Amino acid sequence: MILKYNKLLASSINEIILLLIIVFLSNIGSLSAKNTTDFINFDQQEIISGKVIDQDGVPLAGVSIIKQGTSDGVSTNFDGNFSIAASQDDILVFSYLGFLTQSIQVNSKLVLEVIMIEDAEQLDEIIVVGYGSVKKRDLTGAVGSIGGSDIESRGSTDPLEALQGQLPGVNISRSSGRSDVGFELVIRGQNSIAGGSPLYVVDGLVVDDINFLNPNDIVQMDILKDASSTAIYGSRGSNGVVLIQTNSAENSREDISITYDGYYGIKTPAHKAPMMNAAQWINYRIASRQGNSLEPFSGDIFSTTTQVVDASAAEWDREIRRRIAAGETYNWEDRFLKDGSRQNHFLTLNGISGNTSFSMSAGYLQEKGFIEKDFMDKYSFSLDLRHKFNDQFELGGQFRAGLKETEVAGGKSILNFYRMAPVVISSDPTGWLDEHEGITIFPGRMLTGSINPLLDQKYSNTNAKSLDVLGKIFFNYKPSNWLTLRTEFLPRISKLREGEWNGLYSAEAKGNQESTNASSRNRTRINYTWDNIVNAEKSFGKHGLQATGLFSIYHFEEEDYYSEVMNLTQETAFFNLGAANVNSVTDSQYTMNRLISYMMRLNYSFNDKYLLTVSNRWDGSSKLGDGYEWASFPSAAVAWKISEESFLKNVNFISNLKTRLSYGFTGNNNIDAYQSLVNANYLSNYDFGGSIANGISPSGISNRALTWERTEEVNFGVDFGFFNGRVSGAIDLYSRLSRDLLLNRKLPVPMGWDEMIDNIGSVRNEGIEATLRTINIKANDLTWETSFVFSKNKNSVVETNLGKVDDIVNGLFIGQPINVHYNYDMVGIWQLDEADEAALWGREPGMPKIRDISGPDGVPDGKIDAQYDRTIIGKPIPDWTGSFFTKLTYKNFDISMAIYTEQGIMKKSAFHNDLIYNNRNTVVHEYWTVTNPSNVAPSPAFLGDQYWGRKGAQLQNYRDTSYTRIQNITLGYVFPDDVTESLGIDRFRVYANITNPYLYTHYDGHDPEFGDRGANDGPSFMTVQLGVNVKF
Amino acid sequence: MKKLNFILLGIALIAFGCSDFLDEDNRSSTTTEEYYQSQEGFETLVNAGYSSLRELYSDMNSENDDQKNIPSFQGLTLLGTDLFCHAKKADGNELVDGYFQLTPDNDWVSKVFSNCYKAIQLHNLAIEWESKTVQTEVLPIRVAEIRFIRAYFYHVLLELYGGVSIVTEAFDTPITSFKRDSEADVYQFIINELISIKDILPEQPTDFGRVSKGAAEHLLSLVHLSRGYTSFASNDDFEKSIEYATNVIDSGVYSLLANFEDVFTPGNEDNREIIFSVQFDQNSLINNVGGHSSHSWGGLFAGSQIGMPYRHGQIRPTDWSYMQYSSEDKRYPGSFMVEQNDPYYDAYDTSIADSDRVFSNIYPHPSILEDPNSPSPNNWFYLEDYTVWVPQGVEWEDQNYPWVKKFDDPTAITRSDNSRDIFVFRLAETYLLRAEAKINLGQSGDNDINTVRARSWDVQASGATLDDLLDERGRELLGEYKRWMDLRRMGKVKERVSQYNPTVKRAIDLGQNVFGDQDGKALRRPIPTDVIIRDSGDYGQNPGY
Repeated sequence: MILKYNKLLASSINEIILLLIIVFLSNIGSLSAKNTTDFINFDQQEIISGKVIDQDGVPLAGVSIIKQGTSDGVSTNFDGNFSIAASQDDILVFSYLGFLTQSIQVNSKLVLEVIMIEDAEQLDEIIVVGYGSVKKRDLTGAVGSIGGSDIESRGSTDPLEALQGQLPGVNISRSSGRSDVGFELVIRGQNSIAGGSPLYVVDGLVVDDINFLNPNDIVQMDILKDASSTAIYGSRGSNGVVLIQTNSAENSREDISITYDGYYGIKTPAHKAPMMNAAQWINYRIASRQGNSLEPFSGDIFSTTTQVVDASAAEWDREIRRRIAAGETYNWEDRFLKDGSRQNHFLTLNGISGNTSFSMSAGYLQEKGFIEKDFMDKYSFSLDLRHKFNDQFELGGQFRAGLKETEVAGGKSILNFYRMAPVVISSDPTGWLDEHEGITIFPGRMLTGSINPLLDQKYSNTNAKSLDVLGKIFFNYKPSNWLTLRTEFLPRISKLREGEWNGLYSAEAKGNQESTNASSRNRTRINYTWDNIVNAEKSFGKHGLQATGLFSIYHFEEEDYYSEVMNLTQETAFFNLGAANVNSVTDSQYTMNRLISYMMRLNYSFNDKYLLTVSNRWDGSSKLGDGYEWASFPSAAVAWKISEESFLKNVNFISNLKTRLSYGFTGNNNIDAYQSLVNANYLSNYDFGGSIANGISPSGISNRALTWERTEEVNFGVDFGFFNGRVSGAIDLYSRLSRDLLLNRKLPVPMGWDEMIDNIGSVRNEGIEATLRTINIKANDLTWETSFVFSKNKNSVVETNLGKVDDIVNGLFIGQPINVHYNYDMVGIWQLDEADEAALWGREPGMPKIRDISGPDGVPDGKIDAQYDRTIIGKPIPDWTGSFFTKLTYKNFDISMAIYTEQGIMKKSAFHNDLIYNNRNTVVHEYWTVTNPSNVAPSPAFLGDQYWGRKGAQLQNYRDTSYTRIQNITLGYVFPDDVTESLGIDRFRVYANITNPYLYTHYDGHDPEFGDRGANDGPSFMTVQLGVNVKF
Repeated sequence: MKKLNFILLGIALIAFGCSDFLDEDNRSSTTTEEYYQSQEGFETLVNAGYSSLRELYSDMNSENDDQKNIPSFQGLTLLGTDLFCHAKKADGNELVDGYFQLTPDNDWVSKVFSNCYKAIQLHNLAIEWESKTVQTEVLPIRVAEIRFIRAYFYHVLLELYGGVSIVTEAFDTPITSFKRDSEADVYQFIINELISIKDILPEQPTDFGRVSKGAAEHLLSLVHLSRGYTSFASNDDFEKSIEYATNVIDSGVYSLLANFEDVFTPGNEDNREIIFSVQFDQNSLINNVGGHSSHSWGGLFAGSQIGMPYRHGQIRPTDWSYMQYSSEDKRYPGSFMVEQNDPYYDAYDTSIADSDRVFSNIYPHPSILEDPNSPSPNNWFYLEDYTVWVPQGVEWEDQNYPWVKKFDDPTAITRSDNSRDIFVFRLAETYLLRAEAKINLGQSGDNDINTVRARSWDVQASGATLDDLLDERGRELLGEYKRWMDLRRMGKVKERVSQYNPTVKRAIDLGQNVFGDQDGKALRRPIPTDVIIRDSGDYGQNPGY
């Protein structure tokens, strides 16, 4: 019913908005006239001056002083002094981040001394909620907020890396140990089968990722989690919204201030996989040759793999045999992994001059990987200017540019050095790399089937360079002190060049010039958002009312050019594609999509105890089929500040108690454009007697009735603070149901098309999130605080396209999480005394024993097949995650530590799959031999998938990837004021930190956090960093 | 203030003025609706319909899958026969080869099935567009060509899987369940289709490679012959088979080449013996399914050796494959690379003087070896020693045996750029079809067999039986994607593979129930698991699986 009603609303919304605008237009004249009358009273005001200090008597600079009910205000200067023109009746509101806000009536006082009280719970913190902001104390939804200092203090090179473990319900995981790290961010569990990331909004502009930002750019990051918060982003809100505020003129507090933040650190590989040494590997190899034969293997373990082609090869061969005899291990990891580094230098300049405030920043961030050639460089620059013409008009603009270059040591070199047998050496003692080793005679090549990784690394390259330019122009008009009109235009241009080169001795070309190749992709994205916002805020006695209206359009377009060439004549990588003999792929593409949106939001408060928020957003998207473009996304939330009630007012130990309840709808149009059209663009060429016949077939089968995914969520939360905020925290419970999920639906085979995108199935996420922050000790010189964050999310499929029935083809099982591991169940290894029974299954001793679960008649049928014998063996999402943070401050020293844990998670390790072959190296593990009847892993003689279960089962790769990690330990020192003052510096802090020093896990690959990734992603790393924060 | 009013008015106008703001701007593509209207557009759809043949014959699993490095259709039609077994110890290919482990979730089984329906859907679309596209003179011929190709795909489905769904509609909405038509209905559908188009098709198409009347009649002869063996055979199936074969033979369009080897000389694929072939060409391989026809023939890691073509040998001829030829039969050196040059492709370079050639291996005919069980100085040895299950002993990497050379393309560099045409029907087979139909009618097929044999082998057939005919097909059509279907049609799968296929022989020795209930696995390939579980109804499985 609600849906139907909203569709009706959507169609009539045009008229409503039109009406509203006409009303605004006709009222503007009279509103400003009224303002003019207000000015007359100002003649009677006096200059009030004063000083603001904290509880220790230290002057506070930059405290905001505003006359209540107006936008007139000043801030304190460096000495904490201020002066403001005010009349006797005016109430001055003093606010400063981290301190409780105070309201003081002027009366007859001309000089004021104000002592600000520290707010342990920071209830006055401003939380950005999208198209506006509220104080934390007035929040009705579930929003997590994190300040710039919390991000900066982690010494990260990626903003998301710094966020990990800091907020409940926000699950961030690293996807690689390499320098082009990517992070996956999932808020409150996956609700779309198609996946998808949260919506990132940087200073009002929707962007697809934020890794162009320097972590120091970020002043505040707010994460909208529940549907009532994200519903105002409507069709794009389902996966949560990350709002980022960067350094801007809005943060300018004084005439001029300059800050410099910088660090330098060493990055070393950590938590490496336990690779076999020469002795272990030789035993493994012998076991692979012996198999289940009772005769001990006596042959040559290299019998068929070395081919003596010429004298130098024979010499190599002798050397290898000598090494085996001596048990000498060549450690490929040590040869390849070295120390990398990270550094970041960030300069900001903020200031106010008359009615103009400005802000500039410039940053340089560099990361050098622990593998040669891996690096990342990020340059960033921003400029923000605002000018207030008068109390009514404000104009501003922002320009931001980020240039990023990442390079990843190319080819399969990392993968292949893990594969190299430990008896093979990378180069001869003189460092000479055999030119032919990729082709014929090098024993290493013959042993592992891989090219020498040193050559591969030298002859291949992957490099990406991107330039992001973001702009913003806004115009604010404030016709009256309760009404603001704002129009904001936010364009972004983003250019990306990705190049890849595989030269003559790369793993790909294997010394064959005809297989050398290079490719270049050039992509330009242009998007803009144009927001028009009306905001009205007024109090009537005990009633507080705030209304926000939005009309917004969004446009996105992308042009993509890709070219791939083969048979290179020069080593000019991808910079000279013309120097190749064969142009193998040329492709270009254009895609665009658009969105029109309206949004209304109303906040109402009564007596500062009862809070209500209702909102609705109407979105129309070009991606969806005719007649299905529009949808509306309503939400409502209430909050009750119980601690403000008279019966609790006098209960001293309760400083804050608030409950929140919210309900809302969000959407997800996370599909590619043009999905509702069928294009004739699939090339299937033919020829007739050698003359080309161009064949063009349809790209697929369309679905004209595609519509939005819709997520419905209810959230209940409690915020609490006891003992003046010494103990504080929040607990949130939520349940969200996502329906009409967009998924490539597998079609019956006789239809001819494999799949079509469709709205099918539903998924539920239920969970609990809790934070607890305590200030254990708060004495003059000593503060000790700890915080705990806990999240538990249960993800379950409620319905598939078949109804309440498991959809095995799409891997969806009722009551189970998305992407659950559905596979054969290995119950052990066939033992020698079971040889006869094993033979009935086509197995032999030493091969895995698979459970015969069922058959066509519902009972085990003596056959193992995909239809009847697979079951759920694990899930790829954790049971729960938690983090612990503690910080001790003593005088000018501070020390802190962060721990993060993920429990109850299973991943399918691509790393182990990469090392499955018995002619290559692998991790130390227990395996079956005739003398060691293990039930853990089969004999290395039977490593093909067929023996691990059935085709494609890869049962050997499942691992428990639960882990607990110390993420960060930081020791800081703030120089005393007398020292800094003599240097002309406001604040000077030095710190040292160490990231990822300790990891506890049972996982035997690289790092459980990216345990599903392959060997080429490398191990994780530890950094030791030294940094400074200086403010002039 | 006026200015501001204008701004706000502007916002209002944009909000309501641009009702087409949400229209999709699809610049880099053309929709099918626009494109296939034109003659040019429709021709591309027809060409894509032809191209589906390339996909059927060439589609190969990716590097990371099991049963890789061999096109699925090649695997399903050649492995598990008396003439071919898998070459590598265990890479999944032995599943098809050895029968007892062949289950419905086998990759090849499902790929061939889905490739057929993928093609049929494309053909249905082209047939549907007949009435919507611009009407031209060639349009009926083009549609007839596509209907022939569709009938061929149904023939493939029928021969491999038995009764399947007859789908003639081009879909635009999801269907949840399909009915499985009976074998009799599918035979009749194919025959009806071919009869209704055969006279529309030209006897000699303007472009080499297009469907001709001869192709339709050859297929009619084959389909009638195949139905003649069934319980629901029509009384005149074998007569019809003879009639259509005779039409092709007497048409004068085709003739046998004088020399067997010339039929397969690289570059000579457009010859007078060819009735229908899948066209491949280097220039049109780009962005398309590659030609993989030679990749699975030859040494396992041949590509890593200098002088050897890039191969990943997965199919190995059985002993019987070699032994079926007399040492006099020119089809032995015509089918196998018995004098292996170094570099390999020098064999096709006629500019090299014989004295300048380097030979890496010379494989005399097995019959002239004194003791077949002891390897000759030329590294030649028999498969009797070859064990597929035990990792020690004879190494499976071995590549020293005569490779099938009928698919060699000296211009091929990678695994996927073989640009030789694949022969679907050639006149030699037409003769053998007629011989087979005649023998089934109790007549003599000797003349037809001897017509085919004359150019290669002096020994005359006399009183040839079905088994002799089957052997003749083996010698003449070795490796030409037909063997399993031939054995199945004649009901000879079990008998032949039990005798000649080492994988099956070993499985029998181990006491395996090789062919399943009612020997079902010797009769049909399984209906793929995907087909069954994606269908909301009960699609049904073939016996034995």
